[in-house]
Amino acid sequence: MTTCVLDANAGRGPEEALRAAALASLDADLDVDLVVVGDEEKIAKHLGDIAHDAERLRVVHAPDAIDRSLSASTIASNSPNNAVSVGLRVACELGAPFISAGHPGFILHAARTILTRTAGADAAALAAVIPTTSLRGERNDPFALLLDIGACPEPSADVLVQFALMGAIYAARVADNAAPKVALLANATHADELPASRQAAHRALSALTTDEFVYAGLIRAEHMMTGGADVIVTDGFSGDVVVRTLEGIATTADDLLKQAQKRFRWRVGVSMLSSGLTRLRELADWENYGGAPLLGFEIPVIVTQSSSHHRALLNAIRLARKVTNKQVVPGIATALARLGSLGHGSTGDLS
Amino acid sequence: MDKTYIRTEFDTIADLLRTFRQRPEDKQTIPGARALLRELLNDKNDGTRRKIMFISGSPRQMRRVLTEKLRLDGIEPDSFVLKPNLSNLLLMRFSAIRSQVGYKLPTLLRSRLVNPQTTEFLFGDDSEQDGFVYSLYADLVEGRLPPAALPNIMSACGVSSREIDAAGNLAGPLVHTVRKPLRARVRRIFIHLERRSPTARFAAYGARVVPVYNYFQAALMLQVDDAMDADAVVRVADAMGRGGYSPFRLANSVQDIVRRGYVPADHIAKVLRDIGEARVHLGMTPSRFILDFAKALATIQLPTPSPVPWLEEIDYVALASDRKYKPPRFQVPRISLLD
Repeated sequence: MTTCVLDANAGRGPEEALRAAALASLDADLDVDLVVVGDEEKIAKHLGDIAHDAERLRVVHAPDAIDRSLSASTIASNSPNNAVSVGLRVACELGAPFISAGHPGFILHAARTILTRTAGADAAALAAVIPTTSLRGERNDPFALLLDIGACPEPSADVLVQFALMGAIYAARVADNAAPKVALLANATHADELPASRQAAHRALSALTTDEFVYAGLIRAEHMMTGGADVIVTDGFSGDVVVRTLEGIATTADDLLKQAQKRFRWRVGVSMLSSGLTRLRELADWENYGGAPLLGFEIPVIVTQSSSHHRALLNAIRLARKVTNKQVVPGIATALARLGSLGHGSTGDLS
Repeated sequence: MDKTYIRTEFDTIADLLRTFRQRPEDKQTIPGARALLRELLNDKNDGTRRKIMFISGSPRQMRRVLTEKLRLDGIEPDSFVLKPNLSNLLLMRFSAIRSQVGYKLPTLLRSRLVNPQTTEFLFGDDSEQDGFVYSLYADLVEGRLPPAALPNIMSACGVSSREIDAAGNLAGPLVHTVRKPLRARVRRIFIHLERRSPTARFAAYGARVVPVYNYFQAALMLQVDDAMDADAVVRVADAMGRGGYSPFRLANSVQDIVRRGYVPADHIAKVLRDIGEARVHLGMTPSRFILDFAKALATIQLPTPSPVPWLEEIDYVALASDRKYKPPRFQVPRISLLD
């Protein structure tokens, strides 16, 4: 049985979070207990109208709202009893994963303040799955993992190596992919055309002897989705750009399909392709993926989009449960410790 | 009490057949139910034995199995009424097969005619119309609802005229010329949320109807009502632990019943003190489960909402259409990555 802590104040508000928590509480196969953090009065009001299993659902009061227009440190000092800070503390006490559709910048700030970093991790990385045309792992999953997508905009070479390891452990355990292929995102095919830190990371990864992953070298953006690698490592700035571009493409493709409904012949064509298009939509729909894991802390943290509906949050709960059951965090700790013992230790970069 | 005492699934034909084939020893008692019943049977105020009546919509063919199961649990019901579904089927009374109102209400009224002064605790579940039926019965016997209102209400429930007449004939003699205060005859109605239906469904019935997720919540409520003492409540908690509950989940259910306004938060503090006193003053050794449960309870936040109000008037005709709860069908597309 896993316990998950869920921020009920964020995103679309308590109703969506509570619907997700309620569904999770009713799913006997999921075997998850939920701690829902937010304004207790609002939560109580909504809970009465939602079918749920109260035995598997606990409420922790966190009355302060987060003003997203303020800086993270200002939010922390002005609203100390916000659902993210309270939720992270509760998650820490319980050794449970924390899930939030809140402001990623504030979640990262709060995590850095409240949680302990995994030993050997100089920085945390936010990871996301992206769909690919090739299948991998025992489950034939059509996903690759991209990290970092925003937590660390300018990582050092050592940090990129740590990200590679964290991503590989995550992919191995969550996607059942025993020795994933790890590649470094690059804008060139030759290392000497890269920025200095990227060159250094490439050299370090090429020289690294490890059972955790196979280093596949550099990968350009256009090959990410054709299955060139299972784990793609980059800095937070370019990772964020990649993910948002992909989201934009998915939204645009959907809009274009709607345009295609205007003519009868096009409608017929689209309806003939409907099952394939449905599959494509499912693959591209971020709500199906369960959110972005924030790797490098003592407990799993899952960040979902602020526009998450209950489906996304329920999938985030599923992901959190899987990450916990598969011991991803201890696996990362062990792997980073081994990395340190091989002399690829931290540089003390505190990004 | 009805079939809510044991796990009985009648939702599908396969469930029905399985239920029929089960032996008494195979029937699973819902955790805490047996302990609660045993504690409740002893009136703590005067030491007398309370009576227990089983009314179930289960068919009569299950009598032998159900009575044997109760006997195995050390419980001898004073009366046991099951539904004559076979007769209903043979007489083509198809609406009577489905109807709970037309069956349970006359049964309760008939029982009260034998013991008109008795006070009752009623136990049902949310798979049928127990909250509605029991509350209607309570308002009838306490004089808040005149028998003349019954035909309208029961027609709205789709009950046959034969059953409406039967209920009317029984309710007539029970009319009190003096309106009894709330809780005078029916002190509480516990609805076990077997289907986990939304608790707001029962708000229209007021504080008398208490939806419960488990029988420990019922035990706490009974202690608040001074119908059960602290030791008995602890024994029910222990039984929950033996029934597979974790301290975390049981503590969650305590927070739930406090949050819904049925049990005050300071009552829980009293329960914790009682556990502590039993240990210190009486030399009793609470079980590991009770100690862990007390720890979980000490750290859980307990809100202080307004208490649920007792309602003098309930619009049963309006509630007649909202009786049987159907869990919503909801499927979230699953991707293998998350499994």
